[in-house]
Amino acid sequence: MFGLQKKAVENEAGTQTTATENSVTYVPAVDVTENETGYTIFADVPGADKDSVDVTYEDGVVTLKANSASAKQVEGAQAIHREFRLAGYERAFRVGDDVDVDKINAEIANGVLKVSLPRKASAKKVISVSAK
Amino acid sequence: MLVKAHSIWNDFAEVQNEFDRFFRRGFGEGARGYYPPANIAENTDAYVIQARVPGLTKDDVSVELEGRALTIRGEHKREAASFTREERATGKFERTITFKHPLAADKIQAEVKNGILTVTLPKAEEAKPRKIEIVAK
Repeated sequence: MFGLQKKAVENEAGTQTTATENSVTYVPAVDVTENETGYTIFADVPGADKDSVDVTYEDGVVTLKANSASAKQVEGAQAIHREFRLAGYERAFRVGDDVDVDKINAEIANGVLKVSLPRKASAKKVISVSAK
Repeated sequence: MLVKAHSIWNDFAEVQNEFDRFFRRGFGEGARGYYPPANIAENTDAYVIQARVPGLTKDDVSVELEGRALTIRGEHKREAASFTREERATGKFERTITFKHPLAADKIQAEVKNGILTVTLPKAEEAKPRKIEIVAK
């Protein structure tokens, strides 16, 4: 039901690694779980907080965006070793028809963005068959 | 470690971490080495380490200093669930970073906020640069 939705712009930004700090966009690692009530996406967005995340739904695609630039360390210290950047995160997922889009909700805690995609109330309908 | 690296090597380190994300899944009984990814900054008074530990709270991480070696330990716990996609790190990790200057062990501060561990390590007094007065005779 989920497929990675790659947009041209995301591709360009995601492979750009030599540009300045803020222009880098990571594709965050995600876990997706599924149960009877729905699907849940957990995305690693360390450094991002509630004010820097943005979750949108449009045309069957849920897009997660976050930014961690605000977690940068104190000014005045010179970087002597760097293994990751505090930059942007973006990833999009195609959502199936069984998801109730009005009930999608998102929360963020400890740098993990959790997006809940509840299933629609049972779409199962028993159709009675009449004999003639 | 802690030789001032040219920026291109920093970029390689970053690419390496992206690879690690795919190949070092499931730490089992403990990964040693280069997880979690860390940035280190320095000024005249202190070193500041920032490590990427998404999902962890202060109870999941421990920081220990022995001499000039700082060790970060922790565990990414995973709830039992039916996963349709599983990319995030799981399991225990341990990383040691050794500094070339003596550190003021009693003044170290560590905090975890929004999945970033920040450790501030003040340098010991004798490690700070100091101006020497020259006396003319």
